[in-house]
Amino acid sequence: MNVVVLMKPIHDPKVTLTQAEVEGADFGIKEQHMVFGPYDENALETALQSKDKWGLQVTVLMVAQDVPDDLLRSVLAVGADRVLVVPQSSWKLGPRDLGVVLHQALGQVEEPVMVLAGIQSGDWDTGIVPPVLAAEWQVPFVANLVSIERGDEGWILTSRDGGLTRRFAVNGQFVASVTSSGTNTLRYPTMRDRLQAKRKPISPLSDISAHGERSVTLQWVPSEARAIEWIDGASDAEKGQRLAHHLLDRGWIVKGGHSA
Amino acid sequence: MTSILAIVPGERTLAEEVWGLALALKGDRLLALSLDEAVLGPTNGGVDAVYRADGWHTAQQVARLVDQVVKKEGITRVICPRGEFGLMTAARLAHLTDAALFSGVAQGSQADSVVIPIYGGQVMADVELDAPLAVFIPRARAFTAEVSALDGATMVLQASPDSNDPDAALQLLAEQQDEGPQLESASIVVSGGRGLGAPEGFERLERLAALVGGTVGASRAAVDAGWIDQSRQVGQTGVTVAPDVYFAIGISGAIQHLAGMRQAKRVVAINADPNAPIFRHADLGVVGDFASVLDGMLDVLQGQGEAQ
Repeated sequence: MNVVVLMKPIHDPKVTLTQAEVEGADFGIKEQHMVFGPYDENALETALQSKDKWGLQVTVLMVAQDVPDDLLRSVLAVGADRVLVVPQSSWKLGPRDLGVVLHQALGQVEEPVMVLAGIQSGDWDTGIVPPVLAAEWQVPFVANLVSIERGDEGWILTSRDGGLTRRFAVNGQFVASVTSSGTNTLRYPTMRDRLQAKRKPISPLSDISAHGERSVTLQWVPSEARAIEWIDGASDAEKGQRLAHHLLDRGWIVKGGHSA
Repeated sequence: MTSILAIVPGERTLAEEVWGLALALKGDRLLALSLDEAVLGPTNGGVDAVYRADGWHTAQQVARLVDQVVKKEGITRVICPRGEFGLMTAARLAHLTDAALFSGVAQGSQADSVVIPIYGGQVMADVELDAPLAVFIPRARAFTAEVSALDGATMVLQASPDSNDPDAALQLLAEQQDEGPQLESASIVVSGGRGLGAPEGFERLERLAALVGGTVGASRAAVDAGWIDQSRQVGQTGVTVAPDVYFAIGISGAIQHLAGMRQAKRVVAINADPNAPIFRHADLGVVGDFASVLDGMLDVLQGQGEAQ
């Protein structure tokens, strides 16, 4: 039985984008600062915990072009059993087209019991690809998953969305998008894990083709800095006192109450 | 000819966003399918036909009702509300009708393209629409329209059970809403990040929030560290907030966090690192140890501080 994790290399969100990068031909494909999305990592860790508890296999699936080998092997080093890559850029695919491609690829996974996803950059950050895959696969979908347990006849899924906690039972396959929970930060590999990762399989799925490429024009948006006013003082405590007075004087806050 | 169908939920904010996008698209015909008995429509009218969905329980059932209207009325554009149910309805509908699907739409016009911000708003993707039927979901807070109860003839569509409904395979066992103020509607948000150093750092934030009538939020880093519950997370996959005042304390200012608080009216940043990116997005900034700075603030707010 396989847990399938959707992952996608993206531009490192900690590195500020430049106009040249965004408007270059390799943006989102083969860049200097490529990482897996942080929520994809949460999804992978959730899958690895399922492997630890119930002995499930973990297959990472991605639609991506020219992924650096060390980045691919990083998911194998932390415990994924194999990686399947549909070797094409997903930038020109609409979210639905990408969902159709992922569904085709899923057909090549033996006994998939669940699909866990972070946010696919191919869906332009909007979280729509996991539900689209659920619709193509004709299975239920749960958003903001934070934990999975075994039930009597299937799975018990817990989601957290804002302040709302929900528990679901599902008896069969499902797709879920995973959010950070405080317990699913991706583990670190040991040196031994890294060496073993070199022997694990990375399989290109080159017989899967996408239809419906779209014209997508990317435009860099210069970050608009606010005009900051610095609050200074002889000590940090004095800075804090001055800040409080500033806020009160301007009516941004009132004691025990509400801002202007 | 562009015929637009707005799927209107009972929740007013979401309905305002749906109608905002529907009006921005400037179609030739404008129709509504309401998911609620109290049908909400644009205050100034202009709606050609109103349907109401009755007896539905799942996204698949709603998608089937929408499909009926699409076929009967020759709809070319469907707008679904954001949120988990809206996403799933849009996905089921796209599968059912072989439609293109675009989520997070921030700009739309009669022209055959939509604009979707990506990378936390650092990049705008201008996407061409070449599909005969397209389903849209608006970006949070990108559109608004004044709505009121809609008068006029309403055609009621009755949902029917579907033995192959995949959504029916999901059984809700329990549901619990946290008590206390909600982040999304808070007028003051006091957020902490990894710079707090330990979960205990949030105690000072709680005290500040209590004194100014605010609500405590957090960055993803603080949630990942297990210092605070995920429900407090502000950011791209957390809550998007637009308070009057946003305190970013020990938060570096990662893109995903900025995406969730960029619309704050005022931003106050406190960070030990003078080069933290958050200062580019702040109106007031203090470089220093957050605990000492907050202690100074708390002294003043509790009536003991001196410095002016």
